[in-house]
Amino acid sequence: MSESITLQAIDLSRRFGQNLAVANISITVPRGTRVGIVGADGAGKTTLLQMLAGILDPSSGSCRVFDYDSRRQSKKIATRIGYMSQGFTLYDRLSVDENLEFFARLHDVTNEQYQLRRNTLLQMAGLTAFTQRPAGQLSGGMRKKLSLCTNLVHEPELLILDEPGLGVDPLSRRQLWEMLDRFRQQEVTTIVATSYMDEAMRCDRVLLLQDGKLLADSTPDSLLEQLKGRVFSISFDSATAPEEVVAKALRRIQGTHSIQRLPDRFRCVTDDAEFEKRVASELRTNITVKPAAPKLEDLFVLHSGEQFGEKPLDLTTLAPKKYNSGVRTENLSIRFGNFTAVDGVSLTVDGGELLALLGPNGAGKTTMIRAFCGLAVIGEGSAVVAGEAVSTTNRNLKRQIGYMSQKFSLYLDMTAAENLAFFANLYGLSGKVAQTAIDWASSVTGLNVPLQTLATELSGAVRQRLALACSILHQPAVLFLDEPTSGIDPISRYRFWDVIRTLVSAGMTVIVTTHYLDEAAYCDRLALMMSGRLISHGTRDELAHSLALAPDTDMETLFLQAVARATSAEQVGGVV
Amino acid sequence: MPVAFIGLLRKETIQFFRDRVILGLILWLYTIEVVICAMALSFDVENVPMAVVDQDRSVLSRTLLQKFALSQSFDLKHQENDVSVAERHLTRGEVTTIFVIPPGFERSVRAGNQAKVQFLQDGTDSNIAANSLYYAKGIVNAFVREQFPQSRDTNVVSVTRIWYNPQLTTANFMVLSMIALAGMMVGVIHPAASIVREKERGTIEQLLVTPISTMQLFLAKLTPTMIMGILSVFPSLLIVRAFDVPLRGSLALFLALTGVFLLSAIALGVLIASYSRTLQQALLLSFFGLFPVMFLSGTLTPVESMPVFLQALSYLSPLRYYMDIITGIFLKGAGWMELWDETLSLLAIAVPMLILALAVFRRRLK
Repeated sequence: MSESITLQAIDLSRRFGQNLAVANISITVPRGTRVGIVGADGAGKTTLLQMLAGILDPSSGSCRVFDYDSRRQSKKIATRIGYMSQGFTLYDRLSVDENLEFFARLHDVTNEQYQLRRNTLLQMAGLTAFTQRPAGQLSGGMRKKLSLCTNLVHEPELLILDEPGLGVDPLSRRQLWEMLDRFRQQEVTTIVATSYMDEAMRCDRVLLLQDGKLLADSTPDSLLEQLKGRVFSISFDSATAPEEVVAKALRRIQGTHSIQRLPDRFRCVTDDAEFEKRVASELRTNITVKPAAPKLEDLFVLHSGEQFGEKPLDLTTLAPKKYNSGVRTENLSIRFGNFTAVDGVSLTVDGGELLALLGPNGAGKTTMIRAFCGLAVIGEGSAVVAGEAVSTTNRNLKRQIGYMSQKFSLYLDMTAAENLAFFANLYGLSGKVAQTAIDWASSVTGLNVPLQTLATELSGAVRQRLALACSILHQPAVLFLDEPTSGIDPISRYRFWDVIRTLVSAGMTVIVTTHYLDEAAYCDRLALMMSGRLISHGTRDELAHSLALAPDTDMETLFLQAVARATSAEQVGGVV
Repeated sequence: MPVAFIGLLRKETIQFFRDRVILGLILWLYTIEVVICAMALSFDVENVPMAVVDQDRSVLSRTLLQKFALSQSFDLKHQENDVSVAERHLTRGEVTTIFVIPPGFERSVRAGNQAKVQFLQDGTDSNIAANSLYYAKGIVNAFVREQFPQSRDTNVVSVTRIWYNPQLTTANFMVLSMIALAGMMVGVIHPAASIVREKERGTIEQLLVTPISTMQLFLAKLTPTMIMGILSVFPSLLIVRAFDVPLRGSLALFLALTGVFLLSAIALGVLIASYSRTLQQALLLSFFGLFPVMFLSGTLTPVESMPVFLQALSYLSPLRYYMDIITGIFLKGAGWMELWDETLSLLAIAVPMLILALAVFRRRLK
């Protein structure tokens, strides 16, 4: 193996009992390249990374890192690599400084070297002001950045990162990647697993993993090339062609891999070269089919080979009951001691509207949703949700709302059926009524697993569907979703949003917080929050207009511009 | 009962029976642990290692040594001629008692004079020291009566009878106290763990956005521990049998009063859970709470031998009353008439604790 090759894996496989997690993967990584590993939940990304880092021994095949054998010389490999796992690897009670110093000591970094690197790293990570703060009190984004610093302090030649962007707000994620770009210039080889497609686009090479097998290994650009003529945008006039009619028609078309349902149009990935004609023959009304700009995400959808249209959602039993009541707040403030988490927010969400609540970590989104659910005490102002005044004691409010948290709060030691029955009981549903509700919620969410499976054995994507089913059993008027798609693969995300749009079209009001800015595209309106305040509110086009940006500006730019403007306004305000 | 409450109960039951580790631990606590405790923590004096120094070397002195050799209480380890050599065994901890028969022992006995023998005792463990001395004296007295029946003082004959525990075995007591301790531990730790686990997984939040009341949640956390705490007494009854501990009173009364006792344990468990964020914290806090309750209960040392200040505090330990109840029912055959004041005391502790637990549980969840 020559000097210019950092890592070479031949026929790498790993079994866990009967389950083949990684199957016969061979890769060669030249020095200084950045390799992205993309795959669905459970595709084998983490297992592969652990084998490459020498943490996990392969069942068969071999892996050489810097010409060391990963089985027998893993200690030698460990001194020259940085491995950042998905979970946090920091000591919560130690301060930022102490954490960093601890990892430096572990790697025998000398004092002079440490002082030098410490300052550079902390500056890059924007943590200079927080060196004395315990790691446990940092926001999610800051923790990820510190975690990256602890893996860079010994200047590794190979950096292996497992989903670094997971649960991190866009601003922190951008800084994280800026740090990685700096180290790339110093010829650090990077292998990064990700479920963010924009992160995959920043790599030299992308490995597409499915069920432990390597589906594709090429540059992001050449992969995108494969998508030419496969992605379409379908816009329609809802007066002559209702959304549901169009959705059904699209599902009928053979070879359709995905249907993304956006507020004003659909976006499809298809195998069918004649797609435009077929749509025209299925639907003769006013619809326009145009080729759409492909994304790496679509490629993943295409390669997964799954067909989307098999089972249309059954909404016949969704009763149009007390719907069409939304959320209204006036000058809402929530305080914890001296800290103002939500600061004078006035917001109106109409019934049957899908609103995305966006903002960096710590902007107050989750606190506001918790207050709407009666979990946080309102300091000043008022809020009305589904016609009920919001307070921690109003139990009528709780019958009207559904809530799904980031953690998919299920009982893992109970089966899917037991979870559903339990939550049905909590809403006072029992016997046949409960069974009808469970059947309905399972079919709406596409929960097609055997219900006798323990929740702990379900994949993340299925747990997400189960959690959603549990939270809509009682057909709430307003549904709150806190980071509902964290760590879920693209296809499952498409499906999830399809379900949500279906619920919204039936009149349910949905408020969602998300870090995936792309997902804001599914929402009717956006509300941007920062430091507890509502800094911007409206449709995507309205936001772009108010920031003097082009209407088709991508979400991330829009978001960062709005944040930048609010920050500068604050500074000016401070001077005045 | 409202549907939601039945749902909560069903869920707690499913989770309880699905957690094999907890099930195994509870069974272990109520069976194996009871056996270990009864066998290891016995205060009976047996096989005390002993060195003897026979300076008389007479028939009589040898007969006396024989008595010691045959007794269950002592184990003759060394026989020396010199007291200073025997003392070295004592210092090294090889023996805890030295028995010295001085020269001229037989002669003075036969002459009708007062004869003296000497016991040198390692007093490090005062309990064992006092007991072995007591046993040794018994052996010597029995020997004297046997050898010289005519010299017995016939005026006063004291006949001692011991009630409730005629063999004076400590095993009876230890088996029962371990069952009481097991009830205390499970009663505190089980509700604490089941609440904290919901906090850790975030499911508690999911429960709070549903229309159930905190009261329902509180009762749902309390009921399964109560039922399970009463049921898990049964495997212990087999152990009680095996140790020949009698059950002289009513089993139903025992189960009912176990339930009353568990109320205060569960209240403590809920309080602990309300102030803990992780399972680790809850377990550590449980031990903080459990030890004083145990020390003050009179299980390990009699309440009467504690300093006055601690004696007063011991009235606050529910375990104190439960120990009286459990030994009363098993050994004395006590019934409701004898135990009503203990029961009222337990309630006087449990009710305010439950009210406090509910209040704190409510406040901390908001």
